[in-house]
Amino acid sequence: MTTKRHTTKKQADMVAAVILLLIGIYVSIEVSGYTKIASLDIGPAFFPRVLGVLLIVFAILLAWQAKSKNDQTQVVFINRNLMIVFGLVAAFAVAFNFLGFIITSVVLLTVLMRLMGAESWKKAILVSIITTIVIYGVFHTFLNVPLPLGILEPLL
Amino acid sequence: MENLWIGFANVLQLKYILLIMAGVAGGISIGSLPGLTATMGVALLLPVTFGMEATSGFLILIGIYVGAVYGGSVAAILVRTPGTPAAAATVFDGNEFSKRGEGGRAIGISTTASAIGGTISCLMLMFVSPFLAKFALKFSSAEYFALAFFGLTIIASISAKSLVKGLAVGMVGLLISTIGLDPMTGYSRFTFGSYYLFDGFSLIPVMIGLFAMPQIYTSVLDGLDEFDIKQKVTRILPSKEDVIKMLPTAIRSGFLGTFIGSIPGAGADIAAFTAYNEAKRWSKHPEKFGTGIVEGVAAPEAANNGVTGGALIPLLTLGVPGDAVAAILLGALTLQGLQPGPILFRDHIDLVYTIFAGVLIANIFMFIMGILGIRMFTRIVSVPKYYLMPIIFILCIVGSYAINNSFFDVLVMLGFGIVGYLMQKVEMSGSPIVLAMILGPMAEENLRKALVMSEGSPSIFFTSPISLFFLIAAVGTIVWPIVKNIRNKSNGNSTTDSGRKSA
Repeated sequence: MTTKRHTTKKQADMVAAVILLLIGIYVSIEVSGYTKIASLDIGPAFFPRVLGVLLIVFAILLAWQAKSKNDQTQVVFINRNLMIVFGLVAAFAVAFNFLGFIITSVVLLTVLMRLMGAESWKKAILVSIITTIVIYGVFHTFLNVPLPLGILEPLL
Repeated sequence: MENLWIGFANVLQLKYILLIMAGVAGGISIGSLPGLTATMGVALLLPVTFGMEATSGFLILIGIYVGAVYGGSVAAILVRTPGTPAAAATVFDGNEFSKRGEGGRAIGISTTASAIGGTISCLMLMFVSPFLAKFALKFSSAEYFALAFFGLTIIASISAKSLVKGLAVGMVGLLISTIGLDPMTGYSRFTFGSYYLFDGFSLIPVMIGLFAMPQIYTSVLDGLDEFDIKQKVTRILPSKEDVIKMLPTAIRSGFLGTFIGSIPGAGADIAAFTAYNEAKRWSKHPEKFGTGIVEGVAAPEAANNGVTGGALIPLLTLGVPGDAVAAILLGALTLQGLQPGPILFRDHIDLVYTIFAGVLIANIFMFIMGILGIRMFTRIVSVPKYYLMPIIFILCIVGSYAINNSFFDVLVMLGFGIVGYLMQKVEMSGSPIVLAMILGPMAEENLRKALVMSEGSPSIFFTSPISLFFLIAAVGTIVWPIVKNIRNKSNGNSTTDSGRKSA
């Protein structure tokens, strides 16, 4: 995977159209399996079926528009820093239940602050710890939301 | 009228006054910071209001809304960067004042115009809503379906640059609204057998993901702009001449903003641009717009605050949100077990009038804080964003978690955050998804109920005049831009809309 990707607006719109088209097709297939309920009610499949068909129509229109407009403006989707952030978010999603709020929050905050331009690690870590404790405290005490502590549970 | 006095008597308790004040101050701070929008502020602070009773929670959110829409003008005037999209039109003339060293004067004008616009919209809210609610009591399923359908078409057609994109995103939003157990038959749709999805996606995590996260990802991608205000802001209170000069523009724009705000889907940014262009058109010296004139600041600022009350009109009377912030406010009411709509006026009239009074009080505080405290708020513009943005990220996580104490909601928020970011990159707006998630169930249930009532005959939608009106309006909303487009092309593209895009 290269870090620098050049995507034009036309390509981006095309990809969006394809994704929307796939969603539309998926919906149409999924609802065809829904049971028909014999009554006056038009049933659970009707509304999503109409939406699925319309989505397919709009996706095709979008693709057609993108093709005929041929907009070559560059769109940058991702760079190194954003890739690190996405990786961090994925790691957070996996580790949250185990590590708990305090650890994940301090790590996330520190890395994000440094990536966004905080002067030093020391300062970033300090601000992260203070912020995390304040947020934890406010939600725990005032709002009655116990944020999970994960492996820190036995310590507190 | 009597209800209104009760409403004021309710609001004028120390607790509520303090909450509204805190909301307005917080709102102005959020609005002052480029990158933080009113929508984001209200979405992020919504979880904080869970623990409160309905009135307190709603009033603080109203305060934030009113404050944030106004606060956007500070950065627009002083650093040429709108604090919120709603203040984008304020940059044109506002920043010219700053270049002349008159930043304070421009802020004074903006504060006064915002207060005028906000007050007008609040009065309209107070006097129009009860009639509309009474009228809406007559609505049955057919009318509600047509109304939801009309709302959806407007949202799709104005929220994106391209009609097709808006419509496609709207369809996705509607499909998302069908996820979960079908409310009429209990049949499970698109749940992949997961019980997490039986109730569909919660609205709040989706909104936080779509409205707050893309901003964070974009600042990681593009880097952050830090602002340093060197200008001394002096003389905030506008002079008599300035007030006299702005008054007609501000009043007209206030009404215009209220009207635009009350249309589902059209928000403060559209209102501000429209009002700016209208003021220019009405003016005897349109060429002076953009050079730093009083009317150029007053028009967008009166209009964007006019939206605040306007957006509440369809929200409270019909259960249809007027813009993205109103959609979040609807979420706030629903979480408290209150269903906005004519029934709210029948069963919770005291709450309704307390809200009315609260909006007015919020506007008064906005004016006072703007005049007295704006020097403090100008400092906020220079708060280092590399600390702020990560903290917002954590607040998104905590806020999503807090709704059901469930990590699944956090995952939903993160997922929609990435979807929202990608959508922004292909110039699709997230608002149609959120509004469709609200209007979708309303459209589907009423469609089906109406067809049960009519024993399957679709004529029920065309025999009711109200329903027919909404349906024709809906078709018009979709067809009109297409017709205009074709006509423009055949005219050799001479009259493409010069308004928003060139402005």
